Amino acid sequence: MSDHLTDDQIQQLLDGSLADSNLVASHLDHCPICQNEVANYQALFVGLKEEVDFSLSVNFADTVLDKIPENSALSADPVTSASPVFSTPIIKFSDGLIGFSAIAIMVAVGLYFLDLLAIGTATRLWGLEMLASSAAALNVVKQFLSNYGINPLMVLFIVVTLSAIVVIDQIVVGMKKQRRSVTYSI
Amino acid sequence: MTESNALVQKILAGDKSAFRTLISDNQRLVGHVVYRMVKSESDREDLCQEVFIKVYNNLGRFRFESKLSTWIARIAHNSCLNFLEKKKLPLYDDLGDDETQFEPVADTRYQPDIILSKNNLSAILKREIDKLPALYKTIVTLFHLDEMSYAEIGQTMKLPEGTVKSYLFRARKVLKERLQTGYDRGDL
Ligand SMILES: [Zn+2]
Repeated sequence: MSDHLTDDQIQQLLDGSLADSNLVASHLDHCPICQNEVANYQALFVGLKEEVDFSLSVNFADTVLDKIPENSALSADPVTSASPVFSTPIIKFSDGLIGFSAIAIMVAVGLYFLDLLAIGTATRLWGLEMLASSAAALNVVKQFLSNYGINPLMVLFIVVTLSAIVVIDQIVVGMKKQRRSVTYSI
Repeated sequence: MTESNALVQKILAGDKSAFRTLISDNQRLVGHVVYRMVKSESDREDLCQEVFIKVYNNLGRFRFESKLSTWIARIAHNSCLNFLEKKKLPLYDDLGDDETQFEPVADTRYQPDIILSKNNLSAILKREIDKLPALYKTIVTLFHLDEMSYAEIGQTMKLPEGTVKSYLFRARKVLKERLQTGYDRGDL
């Protein structure tokens, strides 16, 4: 008999996903062979509902919760939600960097705009030997530069540019560090 | 969906007891995936822990494009794949259309300490399911024990729905035949 039910039909019948179930039902009424096959599959389907031989320990949830850091950043999406990236300052200048930039700019400004000789004379008159000598030292540098035809304005420009590069680099590094702490691939 | 949405929002707001609820709602499902994919008993519990820690750390990125449970099952499946890859254990090398890839039916006649009767049908079935390739037994378990649809199993295992369905039907046919062999011999 070529009209016996196929394995797929029987499985669909038991899954409840068979489209033409009337035809199948009328065949099943008269065919003991297919009835037997359905019974075999039925026994299998009952068996497949049995729970697997594996269960997690009783305190499983506690163990997981213990492993979660108290203030875990919960991976809020850095783009679409209020994220930890913006709750802490992105740029953290080191004190050294700020100091260096300030001194470099002051020196450059001093070299270009100030009459260092006059300042030196004035501070010596006031008894401020330290200021007088540093003004004298800066004046030596200014003299030295102009002897070689170097415009102190050029020095100012170079120093400011270098400082800007360092500052931008710091910002980029800082942002990368923040991003890395948030992104976590599954 | 709204219920799991509320749960997710609570967890994201820092409610640890809500996360405990998520664990208890899904630990059976995660256990099923890990049990079917990973053979070594000693690694299973650790893997399940790892899955839930990943769930916690990534919850902010869950977009409700699938059921929460499907998303969790997918993380479990991925974790198992990563684990097997790391341990250099075979993955789905047993895929294909050739029926011979399934291990041969156990010849129970030569196992005198197993007393065959209708009562240990379930023990034999468990053993036969265990012998199936990981892909097949995971699908069978997700369908029958976790009542996932073909689509949900497909999302979990990155397989097309049609593939899920055909693997499920093939696995059940093989299992039926193995039990049948027992019946015909009068073992069962
Ligand atoms: Zn028939």
